[in-house]
This record gives sequence, structure tokens and C-alpha cells, in this order.
Amino acid sequence: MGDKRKRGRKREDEARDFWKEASLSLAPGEAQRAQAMTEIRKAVRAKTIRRQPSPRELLMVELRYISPGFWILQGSLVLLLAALLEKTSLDGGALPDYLRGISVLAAWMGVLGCSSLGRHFSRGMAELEQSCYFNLPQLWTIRMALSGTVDILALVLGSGRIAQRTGLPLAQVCVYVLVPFVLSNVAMLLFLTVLRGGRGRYGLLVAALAAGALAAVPGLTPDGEAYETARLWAWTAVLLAGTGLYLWQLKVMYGKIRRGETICWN
Amino acid sequence: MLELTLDNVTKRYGAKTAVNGITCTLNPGIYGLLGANGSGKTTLLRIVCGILEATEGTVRYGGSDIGRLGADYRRILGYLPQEFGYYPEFTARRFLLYLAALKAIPKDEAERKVEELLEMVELTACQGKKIKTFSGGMIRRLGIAQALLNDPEILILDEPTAGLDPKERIRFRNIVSSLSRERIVILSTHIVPDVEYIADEILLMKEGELLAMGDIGQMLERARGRVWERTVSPEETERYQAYFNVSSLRNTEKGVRLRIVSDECPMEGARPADPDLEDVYLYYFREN
Repeated sequence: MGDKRKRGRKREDEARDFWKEASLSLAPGEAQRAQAMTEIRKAVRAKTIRRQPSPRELLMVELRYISPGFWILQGSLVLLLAALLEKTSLDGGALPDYLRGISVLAAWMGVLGCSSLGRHFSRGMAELEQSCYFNLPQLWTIRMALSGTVDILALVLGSGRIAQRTGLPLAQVCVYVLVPFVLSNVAMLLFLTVLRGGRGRYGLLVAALAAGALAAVPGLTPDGEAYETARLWAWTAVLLAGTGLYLWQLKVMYGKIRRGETICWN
Repeated sequence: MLELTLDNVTKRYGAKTAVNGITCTLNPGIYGLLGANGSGKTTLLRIVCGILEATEGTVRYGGSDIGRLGADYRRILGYLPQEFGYYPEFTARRFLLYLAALKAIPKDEAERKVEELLEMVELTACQGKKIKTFSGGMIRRLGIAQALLNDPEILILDEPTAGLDPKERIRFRNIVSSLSRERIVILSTHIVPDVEYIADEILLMKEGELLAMGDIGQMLERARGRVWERTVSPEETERYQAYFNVSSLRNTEKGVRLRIVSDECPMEGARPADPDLEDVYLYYFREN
């Protein structure tokens, strides 16, 4: 009886050992466990809800990090514009007198706006910024939209003042004022990209002086004949062509940034 | 599994081929990209970062073309360019917060991460100082910190130790070693000891081509039987250096001990030696 019980117990022990061994052989090894954990982590990562920042956030980033110097210069130009218009108004100036000053300031606004874009390259930041979630074309677009809006608003308000004083239609004055602004933007973008200049302070100063001098030329024509209404079609054509050229330049520039051709200037 | 695949990546500038048909697959781990100056390392890394378009071939992350992934790829990327740019009038802290904003890191998280990283690269004390007052080593450390801001899954460091003194290089190696292994780290350099002890795998690049890829053991195996040692008199040293690929020389009491990389026994009396990574580098980059 005792032997039978002993045999039974032995069989039970053997069966237990067998199942224990079997279960151990079925358990995943270190490598399999690591592989499974990697898969789980990957799945978790894929399920993580990614926050998509809005264009407004990008705008706020730009506003926060634009250098104070840029806003000081921008503000100074607007104040200078207001003062100049007021002085010309007090002096009882004619249309060419108004346009001479505002054209130079419009050209400077264009130079200043574009120079802030060149900052990315002058500091060698372009490559790094292009590798970020918000990349260089997005930063440029926001920067241009910001400074462009401020400039155009100031120039249109200035044009309104001139139209009021000279009795000319606002649209006509806007055309005269926007031509130097657009052309200085075109020239400055060309200066920054093709000629790869204007990244230093002296380059910018030379560009500003040249743009300002050229912008003042129509106002120096005898009796301001360049601003005769009969020549408005030519001004309109230049404005449209300039705007088209500027947009084309931007398209080319963005393509170069995307392909990395421009980034390697750093 | 996290996987970065380079498939026949080629970059040409006119007649010059900077990167020629590189194909490899990278999994989580630290990769040391070794090559002489001008071997195409920076061009390759720029392509992998998606800031330079390849003339031919593709880079895929998790099976998707990185060009198509766009911002989603940039979100998981950390990059330290060889020529690290910065705005000199920014303070270290402001600079990191600016880049955190560009990396779309929420403000609160960015503040926390900036604190953590400034501490890690030991710049906490200088966080309020303008970057233009920093030394080269401090700027490089700041560069390393910015690359880690978004806890990247792919971390690309192009010549990260350039301009660092020996102590800072050791500190940098410790930082890289301490990073989680669940990311792909590519570290380019031409300084062999920078990667010898921290890289899981080595990629050797020469004239735009990937010459070899493998773990340190495999690389050393390739040079086994090709490294020789011989002690010569100081007068003979120059002559041997002119004839053989000498990887190192050390002054001893008996003379100058030369370490020579050669397929065959270079001279009578030379004894085979165990190769190290510098020998492997010289073996691949020797001039015939």
C-alpha cells in the first residue's frame, strides 16, 4: 500500500516537473521579450496624439523673437513718414513734394523688410532652422507677411493723406507710392540671393542709400511730370510687373531652400 | 521597429559626385560616421536631415519617404550642423526657447526641457549671458543641447566635438552614451577616439562612398593580421614613415616603436599586433 502511494507521489512529481519544464520552454526568451517591448512602444508612439501647432502659434513665435532693433527701425520709418507728410502739408507742398519723401521711405521699408530675411543666412542659422518643425519658408512667409502688412498699411495711410491734400484719387497715389516699395523689395531680394550681398551692415546701408536715391528720381523731374495722370498706365504696368517678379523670385527662392541649394551658403 | 533606410542615395554637384549610391539600414543605436574631410559626410547627413535633396535615391523612415513625411519627420529629428549658427545677441536660454518654439514644443514643456538640458551641458550658470560672450566649447555644448530639445528619435550630430578641449570631448561622449538606446544617433567625425568607445556601429566613408559598415568587432577583424609593430632607431623613423602607413609611433627606451598598417609583413622583425579602430581607419584610408 505504502509503495503504491510512493509510486503515485513520484508520478505526480514527475508530471509537475514535466509541466514546469514545458511551461519554461514556452516562455519568451530575453530577445523575444525585448522585441515585444519594442513593438509595444512603437504602437504607443504611433497612438500618441500629436499636437499640431496653428499658424497663429507660428505668428506668435515670430513676434516674440523678432529683434527689437527691427521694430525700432520699422517704427522710426513710420514716424518719419508721418512727420514728413505733416511738414509738406504745412509748407503747402504739391504732389511731387509729397511723393519725393514718401517714395524714399517706401524704398527703405522694402530694404528693411528684406534685410530681416537675410539675417537667417548672415548668422548661419538657416540650416538649423530648416531642420525644425517650423522651417525656413514658413518663417520667411510669416516675417514677410508681418513686416509687409505694417509697411503697406503705413504707406496706404500716407497715400490717403496725400490724396486728401492733393485731390487725387487714393488708388492713383497708392500706385505711385507702392512702385518704389515693390521695386526695392525685388532689388533687395536679388541682392540677398543672387548677389549674396547685403548681409552685413555696410551692404545694407549701401542698398538703402541706392534704393532711396533711385526712388527720389521721379520726384525730381521738372514739374513732377513723371507723375502726370497720362503716365499712370506706365506706373501701373511697373507695379504689376514688379509684383509678378517678386512673387516669381519668392517661388524660385523657396524651391532653392527646399532643395537645400540656398541652405549650403551658410 | 524604428528604421532609417538609405537607398542608393546619390548627390552630384555638376560633374562632382559628393555622395555616391549609399545604401544602408539604420536601427536604434549609435552610429559613428568616419571619414576624412571632404569625404561627403556632411552632404550625406544633410540629405538624411531632409535639408538637401538627393540627386538620386531615397531616404525612408519607417518605410515612408522623408520628403513626404515633411514636418512629421522634422518633428522627431535633432540636428547639430557642422557650422552651428546662432544669434549672438540671444542669451543661451532665449536661444533654446526660440528653437523649442520652432520645434513646436509646448511652452511649459519647453521651459522644463531647457532647464534640464542647460544642466546636462553644464551651462545653467551662463544661461542669462549672451551667446556672443561664449567660448567655442560652450557654443558647441549649446548646439548639443538644442539638438536634444525635442527628445529626438533621430539624432544627427555633424562633427560635434570640433573645437572642444579634451575634457569637453569626454563630457560629450558621456552625454551621448547616456542617451536612451531607443533612438538612432549618427555621429560624424574624423577623430577616431570620439566614436571608438560609444558607437555601436561604424560607417566608413571615402570619396562619397560607403567603404565599410559594421560593429567595432567586425571592423577590427577586417584589420586583423594587417597591423605590425617594430622598434627602430630614431634616425630610421622618418624613412619608415615615408615608405609605410604608420598609424602611431612611441618613444621607448630601446628606440621608436612603430605601428604599421600593411597587408604583408612590412619588414624583417616586425611582429603582428592587435588592431584598434585607428588602424582600421588608416587601413581604409591609406594612400597606396
